[in-house]
Amino acid sequence: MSYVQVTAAQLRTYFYEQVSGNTAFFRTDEVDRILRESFRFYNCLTGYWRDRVDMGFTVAGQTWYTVPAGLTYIMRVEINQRQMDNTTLWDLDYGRPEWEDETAAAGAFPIMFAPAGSNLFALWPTPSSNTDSLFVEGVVPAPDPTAVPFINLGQSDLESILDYAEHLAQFKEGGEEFDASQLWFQDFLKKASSTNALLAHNSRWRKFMGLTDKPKRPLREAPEKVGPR
Amino acid sequence: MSVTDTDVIKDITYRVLENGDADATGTTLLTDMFTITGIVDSMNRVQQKFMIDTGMVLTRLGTSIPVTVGNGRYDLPTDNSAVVRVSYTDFQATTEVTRALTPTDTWELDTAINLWPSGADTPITWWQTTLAQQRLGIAPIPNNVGELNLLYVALAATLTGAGVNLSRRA
Repeated sequence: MSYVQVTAAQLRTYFYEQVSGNTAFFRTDEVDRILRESFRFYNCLTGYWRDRVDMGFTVAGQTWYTVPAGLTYIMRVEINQRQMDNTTLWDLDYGRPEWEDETAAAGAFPIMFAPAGSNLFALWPTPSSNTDSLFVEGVVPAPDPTAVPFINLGQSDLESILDYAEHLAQFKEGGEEFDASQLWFQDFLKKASSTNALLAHNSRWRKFMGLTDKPKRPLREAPEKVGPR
Repeated sequence: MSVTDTDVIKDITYRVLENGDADATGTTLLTDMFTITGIVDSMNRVQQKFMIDTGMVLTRLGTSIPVTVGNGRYDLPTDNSAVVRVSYTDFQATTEVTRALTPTDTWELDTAINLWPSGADTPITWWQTTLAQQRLGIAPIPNNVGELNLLYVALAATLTGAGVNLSRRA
């Protein structure tokens, strides 16, 4: 992955270039907010900014853990430097209804983690030791372009984010300008789905992109009619 | 990441062209087409709906709900907005057992388990269909003491327009 470094001033310049340099209609404070929202939305869709957090040690008998405050949501968990498989509460509840009671044998470790919302996760089986290290990797909040000296990101990511920023900004203009910006928004979503393939399976996303699995044919044949054909 | 209600009001102010020829303040609008109170009310509704629809931030009940023999209906915490998951810890089993309860409704119970309201056994399901608000039922009716452990969506923080953080993780 290659990166470019962009500053807040550069981002504003790029933004204004897309909206014909209209600095009166789009104030600096507003542009900063639009850029901030664009970065956040892109990060929500793609999980672009990530980090690894040391959670210390497991607690014997404790099944539920709180996701570290610095992470938006978790993607991967390691216990004693062994990766854990991910599962869901639904799978655990319906597959092993008494899973919360199952504790790892002495010397053994939990083998699965199940996220609950974005703020909790459960370990199965429950740890039996206070000395197993616990590391969590996940998505962190997108950087605020106005609060850091510069941001590292790929050139194509930058272009996508600016596409979305323009779409957001054009809401104010309304009319044809806003309609035209839907194309930028679709480009942005397309790029996001190339980074996060799960999006392409999302029905809302597919609907917005005009994609459908439904065959384009009438549900029933047209009735026969009397007369010339 | 923190987002305050004032931040959102400012964003909305720009989008609906209510900032005039100045930066949005978050406390005043250019015209009287919208009001700050109206915007805050709308934000509160949307925030609450978002929390319920996504289950993004879940709360584990700090003190479990005590279960008594013969009682199948219990009060939920006052800040409950939607129950996501219920598990039951049976204190009198040979070894204490915690079991996830599956959601159901009275139609299923009436149809599947004859005289379920009067029988007593280890609870395996939870339901709310015909109960008053902020109440939860478990079935079968418990024949042992125990406790209910809840995972639920709590009411969102009330936004006032005075810089309150939107609901987020602890």
